[in-house]
Order: sequence, then structure tokens, then C-alpha cells
Amino acid sequence: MPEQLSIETWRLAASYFFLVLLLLMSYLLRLGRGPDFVVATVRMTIQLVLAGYLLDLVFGQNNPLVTLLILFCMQIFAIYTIISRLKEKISVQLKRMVVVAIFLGTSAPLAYFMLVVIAADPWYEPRYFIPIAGMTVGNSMTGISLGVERLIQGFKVGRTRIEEALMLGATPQMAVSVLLGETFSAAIIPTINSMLGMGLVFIPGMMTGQILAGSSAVEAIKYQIVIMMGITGSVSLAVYLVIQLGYRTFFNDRAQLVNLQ
Amino acid sequence: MQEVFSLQNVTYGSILQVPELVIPGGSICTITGKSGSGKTTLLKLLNNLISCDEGNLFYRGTNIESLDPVALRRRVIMVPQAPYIFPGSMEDNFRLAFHFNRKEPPGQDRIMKLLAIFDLPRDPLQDTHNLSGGEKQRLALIRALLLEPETLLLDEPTAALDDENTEIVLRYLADWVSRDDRALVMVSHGGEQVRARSGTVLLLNKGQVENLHKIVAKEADQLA
Repeated sequence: MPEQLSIETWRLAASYFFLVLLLLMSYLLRLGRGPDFVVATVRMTIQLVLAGYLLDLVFGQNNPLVTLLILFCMQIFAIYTIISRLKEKISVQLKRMVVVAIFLGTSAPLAYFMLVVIAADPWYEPRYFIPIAGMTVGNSMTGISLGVERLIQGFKVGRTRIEEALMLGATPQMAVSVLLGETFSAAIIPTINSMLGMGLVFIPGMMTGQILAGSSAVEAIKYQIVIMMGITGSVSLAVYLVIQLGYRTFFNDRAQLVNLQ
Repeated sequence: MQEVFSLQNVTYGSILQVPELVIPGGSICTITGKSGSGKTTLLKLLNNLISCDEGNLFYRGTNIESLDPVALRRRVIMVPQAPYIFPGSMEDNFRLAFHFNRKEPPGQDRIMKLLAIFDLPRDPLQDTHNLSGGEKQRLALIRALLLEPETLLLDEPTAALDDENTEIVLRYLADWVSRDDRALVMVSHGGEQVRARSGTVLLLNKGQVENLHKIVAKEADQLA
């Protein structure tokens, strides 16, 4: 295995040359957004340095509870991000379904992944568990956001279609089956598209990192494949849960459509 | 005449207040009144697409809120004023309606017969995309009739039809409701043509029932 190149401090500093380049272009184009670019770069640097030290600390510990606590924090942050990013105000019941979808939709595939696919020893090995949990939760978060957004829009735009089906004797599930199919497809399309382009259009970040860190490309690819499958499974399950549980919150116990805010 | 719907002290927001009302079966019951008088709301209450805030609504003697709402809607079918036609062919629409209603699709001859009576294109595989407003309204009516409901609730079924087609539809509906203990409640602004085919005309005014009798055409015109 080739030796990993360590980046010396001055070389790390040299990478900020690209920020200077960006500032120069911003100046030439009279964008006036120089401060934004500087703030973004400084934030990225501070966040990553802190995350690096934190991860070093976490990787060094040997307590499953700490690992699970980190997963829990990621899930809470994902729920907060999903709800705060939504353009529409959503019902308390739908928020509850987002919580269930994130917890079940990411924990179950992650457990399968750690115990069966990676078979890490111990199962909570932070070096594997935390990066994989991050990717799983992050992608499921995007999928659920898209799913909830589409579901709300679908109920608004498709209200006549749903009501017509109810008038003809459809159950709520029958009345929304087309909408649920469309919502599911729309929410998982980004994940499927990223699989299509992978290896051809771009080399994924995790794989790049592994190759740069000295792993063989073939070994890095194996990891990338299993990670992609894990992400696909998690996104699918999380989106399926949120739409299957979520559509029920748009009906009352008399199978009537409730008014949207 | 059998009592099909019965309402007691029913209110729905500020839209509808009905102290007492009985809707009989066996003939067309027409609900008339100005826009915003609560006609469509009343139909939705009868279909349990909405529930009243207060009061009791009975369907054939049973409180509607104690009936399974989906099972009720399979017996009491509503066709709205601007019905939604599902994408695809006319046959796709019939198939979907039977899927919703959990019934076996009818034979081709029954479909063809109704298409002919209501003067729609004879090819059930024809795409619904190119149908006119009136044709779509008649298609929605056929879709509901094919399901053979006990009761039909129709919101302005003749609004997009010319006089000739209005007469065809009304004649068919008047005959349909007279058989097998059926009921038909229809919201209509229609004039003499509609009233002539109705057994009962009910006038809604500012959310309240003003009359429930076979009222004479001139009087109803003045009130509406």
C-alpha cells in the first residue's frame, strides 16, 4: 500500500490560494460578495478543525453509549433541519411522523449495515459507525425533506382528485395511491441519480478520501458500493415511512380530508 | 315515499343551519337556492365528505356518524359540479371507479348502452383528454350510475349541458330513481325543465331550509 502523504502546514495554507482567486474574480465581476466567501471559508475551516478533534476524541473512546448518543444527536439535528427548512407550516401529527421516519428509517438500516455488511468488531466501532451514520442520516434527511414537501404540495394541488376518489367510495389509501407513488419517486430520484453518475461523472468524496489516505482504489470501491447500498436502503425506508405514515395525517377518523393551513 | 335522509338541528359553521328536514326517495329531490346558500355543503354532509358541527343526520334510519364512512360512500355516491376525470381513457375511469368501490367491473354492453343514451363517443378506449365540459360531466354521471348506488347526490349535473342533453339526462335519472328503492338528491339552478322532473323541490336560503314541498315553479323562481 502506498504511503499516505502528510500535508504540511504551509501546504495546507497554500490551498487558501483558491480563496484569493475567488475573491479576485468576485472583485472583477463587481459581485460585492467577498465577505460572504471569506465567512464561508472561515466557518468551514473552524467547523472541520473542531470536527477533526472531536472525531479523534470519539474514535479513541470505547463506549457504545457515546456512539449511540452521537447517532441520536445526528438524528435530532436532522429532524430540526427538515422541519425548519420546510416552506409550509406542517401539523404536529406530521412532525411526529418525521420523527418516526428519521429514527426508524436510519437506525434499522444502520443496524443491519453494522452487524451484517461491515460486521465491525465491536459493532459500535466509532471509526466505522459514525461516518456511516452521518452519511445515512444526512441522505435520509434530504429524502424526507423532499418527500414531505411533495406530499403537502400533492394534497394541495390534487385535492379535487382525492375528493373525487373518496366520493366514489375509495379508502384514503386508495385515494392517494398515485400521489404516494409520485412522492416516493421524486424523493428517491436524487439518490438513484447519484448512483447512475458514480464512478463516471464523479468520484465520491468518501472514496476520494480513502484513496488519498492510501487505500487501494479497488478496496475504496468496495466500501463505496456498500455505503451506496446502505444509503439507498435508508433513504427508501425513511421516505416510505414518512409518506405512508404522513398521508394519514391529512385525513380524520371519518376518512375526510382535513383542511390544510 | 320512504324517508332516506333525515336531518335534526344540523349546523355546519355559519354556512348551514337546518332545524328539521326529511329527504324522501323514489323521485328526484332538487335543492335549489342562490350561490353560497349551502347547497353543495348539504350534499357533502349527505355523502359524509364533511361532518356537521352539531345535530344529527340519519341515512335510512341510521345516524350517519355511526356508519363506516367508506362503506356509506360506496352506497351513496356524489358527483360534484366540476367532476375530476382521471387521466386515461373512459374505460380507465370506469375501471378505477369500480376499484374504489370494490366491485366487479360491468359488462361492455352496459357501458355501451349508457354511452349511447348519454350521447358520448362510443369507443370506451377513447382518451378523455379531448372531451368537452358537458361530455366530462356526463362521463362522471355514467361512472357513478355504473356503480349502481342506492343513492346518487348530483351537484349541478346539467350545468354544462344544452337543453336537449339536459332533457335526456333528467328523463333517465327520473326513471332510474323510481326503481329499486333508490334516492337521488340534486343541486340545481335549473328552471322548469328540472322542476318538472322533480318529486320534491327544496329551497335553501342563507343556509336555512325555507321550504320542502313540491313548490310551484313560479314561486321557486321568485325565491331563488
